[in-house]
Amino acid sequence: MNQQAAMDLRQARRSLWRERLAEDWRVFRRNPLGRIGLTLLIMFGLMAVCSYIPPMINPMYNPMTGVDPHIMASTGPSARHWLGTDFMGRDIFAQLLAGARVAFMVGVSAAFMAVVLGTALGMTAGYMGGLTDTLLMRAADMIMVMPTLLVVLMLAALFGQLNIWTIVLMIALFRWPGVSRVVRAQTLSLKQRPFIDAARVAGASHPRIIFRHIMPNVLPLAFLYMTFRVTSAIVIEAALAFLGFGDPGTVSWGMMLQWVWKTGHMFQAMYWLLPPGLCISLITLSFYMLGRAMDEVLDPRLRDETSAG
Amino acid sequence: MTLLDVQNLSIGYQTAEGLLQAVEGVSFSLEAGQSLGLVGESGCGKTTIGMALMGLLPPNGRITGGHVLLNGRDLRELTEEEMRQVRWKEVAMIFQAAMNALNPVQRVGDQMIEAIVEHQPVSKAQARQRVEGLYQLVGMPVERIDDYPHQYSGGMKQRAIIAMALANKPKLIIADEPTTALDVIVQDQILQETKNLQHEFNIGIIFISHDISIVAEVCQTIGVMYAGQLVEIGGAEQVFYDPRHPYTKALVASFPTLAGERKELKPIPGEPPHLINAIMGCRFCDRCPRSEAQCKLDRPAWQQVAAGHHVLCDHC
Amino acid sequence: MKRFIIKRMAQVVVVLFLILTVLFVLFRLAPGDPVERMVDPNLTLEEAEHLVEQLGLKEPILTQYGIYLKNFAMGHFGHSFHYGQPVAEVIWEKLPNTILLFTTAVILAALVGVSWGKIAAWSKGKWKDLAFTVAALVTHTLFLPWLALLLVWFFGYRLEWFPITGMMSEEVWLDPDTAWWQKAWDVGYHMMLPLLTLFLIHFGSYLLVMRSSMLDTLKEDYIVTARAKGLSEKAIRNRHAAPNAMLPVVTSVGLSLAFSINGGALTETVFSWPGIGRELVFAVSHNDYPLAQACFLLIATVVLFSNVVVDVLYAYLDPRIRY
Repeated sequence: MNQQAAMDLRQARRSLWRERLAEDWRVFRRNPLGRIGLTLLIMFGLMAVCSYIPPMINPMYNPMTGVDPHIMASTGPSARHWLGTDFMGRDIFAQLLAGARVAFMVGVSAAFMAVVLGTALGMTAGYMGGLTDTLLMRAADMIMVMPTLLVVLMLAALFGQLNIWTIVLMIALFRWPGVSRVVRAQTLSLKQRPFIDAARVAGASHPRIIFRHIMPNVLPLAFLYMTFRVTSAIVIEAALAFLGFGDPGTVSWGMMLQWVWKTGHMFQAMYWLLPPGLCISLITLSFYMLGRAMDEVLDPRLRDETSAG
Repeated sequence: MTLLDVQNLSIGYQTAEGLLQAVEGVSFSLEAGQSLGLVGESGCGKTTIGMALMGLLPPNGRITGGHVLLNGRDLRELTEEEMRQVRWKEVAMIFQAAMNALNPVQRVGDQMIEAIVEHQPVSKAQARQRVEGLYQLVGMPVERIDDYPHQYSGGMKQRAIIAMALANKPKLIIADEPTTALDVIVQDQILQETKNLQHEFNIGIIFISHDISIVAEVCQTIGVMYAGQLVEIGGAEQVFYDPRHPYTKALVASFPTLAGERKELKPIPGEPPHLINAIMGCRFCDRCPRSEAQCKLDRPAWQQVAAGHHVLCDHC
Repeated sequence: MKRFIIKRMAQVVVVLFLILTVLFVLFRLAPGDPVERMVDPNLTLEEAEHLVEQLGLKEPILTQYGIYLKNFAMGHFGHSFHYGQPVAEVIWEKLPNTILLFTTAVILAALVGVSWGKIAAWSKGKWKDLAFTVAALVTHTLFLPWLALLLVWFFGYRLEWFPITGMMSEEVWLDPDTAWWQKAWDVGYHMMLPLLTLFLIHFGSYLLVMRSSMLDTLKEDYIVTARAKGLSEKAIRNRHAAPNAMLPVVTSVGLSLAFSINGGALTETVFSWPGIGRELVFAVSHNDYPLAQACFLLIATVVLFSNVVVDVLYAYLDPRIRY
């Protein structure tokens, strides 16, 4: 292939991608689930960004260390504290904003790691086949059926207090099998296509085939799965924090719930109990809806079902 | 006695782009114990007619005009419940076995017993006896009654489906591409058996296929369909050996015959028209080698070319 | 089928062995003295020495590993710090409570989820479908501990309908005159809220899976056959569509078991339900390592065997699967 032809091909491929993306976006926008999910997520994103503002206004709005000098106990909503204060006079609204930041941080980074790991292992298993495939998939089966929360708890029992990045890493280590299964299946079917054979005949090395020819084709699917991983990461972190095994240096929504529960405020302080739980549930819901909508975008079979109905 | 009389039948599908007129003004009739073949390429409306006769159009499809008289009774005037009782008792259907027509998680025998018990005042044990008889009738070992569909070969599944269609001794059977996915030998056996059973029980058959040579072998009458319309109808010999409509000619030329002389097979160039738009003139004129300017404008009329042989073409 | 079950059991044993090995290695890698972590300082000297010997803590590392595996096989898990009694006794006492709560909840949720999912798919696009789907989506994504706390607040605190902690009332169980059915009633009464929590979290996912699987099934050709046979709508739905649509649901039950177990542990903790999950959480937060280890291994074993049960169930429901 000469230089010009290669350039043309690349350009054609790129414009094809752009068209595909535009079409996908059109389908996505028509989907009510996707629209609601995206709106909610943007809202949570804004919360995360805004979480830097309250501590700048007044140090007493620091979610972790800021204590209102005039308040020693939990109080209800007021002009000074929009959602009230917790048992030691910290501002609940500021904590809620900080919680959004932590949720995104935990969710996105754990999911990203899980997807990278799952894609790499899935492609390897599918492409290499044989013993590698068997071993990797057996390991995936084994990890898949383990209750992640309890596994992380067990690690806490062994190694003591876990910090937030350890937790993220643990979640990623235990949530890759789902991604790798899907990626493996996709790789297996790609392997049968003529262009892979062509590449092999042309003398491309295994890594080159995997990264140049297979990866671009499995990535969209892998990232669809990322949206589902984000949810499970957020929920696991929240549950850990709720049980009292969170990182004591961060304010997450799960941590806030633990404070309400452990300090016995859950019967008196609805203003404190409701917001964090609502946020966890809504962010889960929004990622779920986003995932479903993307499912429909990527799977034309589902698309037909909704438009023909 | 006339078993089935279809008069001016039109069927439409409601789609996102508007009403799709899948079948328009189709008329034919079938005597008891006779067989009629409907041929045409996929999308011509032949399967839609079959489903309409069973009252099984999909939710977005409906009969927009005409009448379907079965033994003199208009099926369009029946309630859903009455229609349900007509199904399989009076009109049964033979599906393509390659389709997933049998429920994969139910024993084949049970699926037949179910069809009998639903329509006849018999016990399960009696129905089972009748199923055993049916198995013998279509030449299948009785001990396979309690197998699941996946344990059958393609030919056995087809036989099972035929046996199931005979379960209630219906007067009319609609066979939709019954042998399409089978290899030639099995196909031939099954067609022969179908023919024998038809004579034995005096059943009227509507045979739907894209393959005119098969239809010519099995049926007394052939109707050729194109783009939702019947374009030629007549005796099997007449239509197959003396096709008049340009489409029928092309169709006959596009299939190899087992017995016929060696000749070049010719695919038909072009595509059938889109049925969303109203079509004034002849529907085949864009692909017709003999079309004239007038064909596009005038609605073609039926011409009789021989006794019982009619063509929807002004120039034949 | 028998060979398949034996093969799967063998796999379970291998996996358990791997888990045990990983846990053993991690325990040696973890900071702290193994003896201090395994032996309660409150024991008498002899008791402590006996325990050290039983667990082989002073032996060379490979011998320790062998003893550790043997102990697991024999059910010797060491001595709980908190309860001051052998761990095995503690967990055998708690296991039935967990099984009672958990299986009741999962079975109820599966029954309701599947039958409502069936109805939702059948009336696709109508208000019933919309109501079921929205309800399933919302309850399915609720954060479990939060839902539990809300239920406690509403039914336990505001309405005072149900007890909010524990599994039985002392006065009922200590009274020698209490009949067995009164005891059963008491447990059921205490179980209401935890059961409701687990049920609400679970039925949604079964409903959604059943609904979409049912919609796929309704497009199949054998449904057309069933219609053509003149069967009633109910017969088509229950005899032809539902049995086929059930298959993906069974698979999803197996896959979601891990999540359900997480949820079970959270529920037990919030409601102080004396089960294995709560015991694990408690042991971890009170540095009772022998107890934590035993609870974890027991849960892992149960999860692995349940997956075999799910596989067998699937094979039973789908005649195309023959192992």
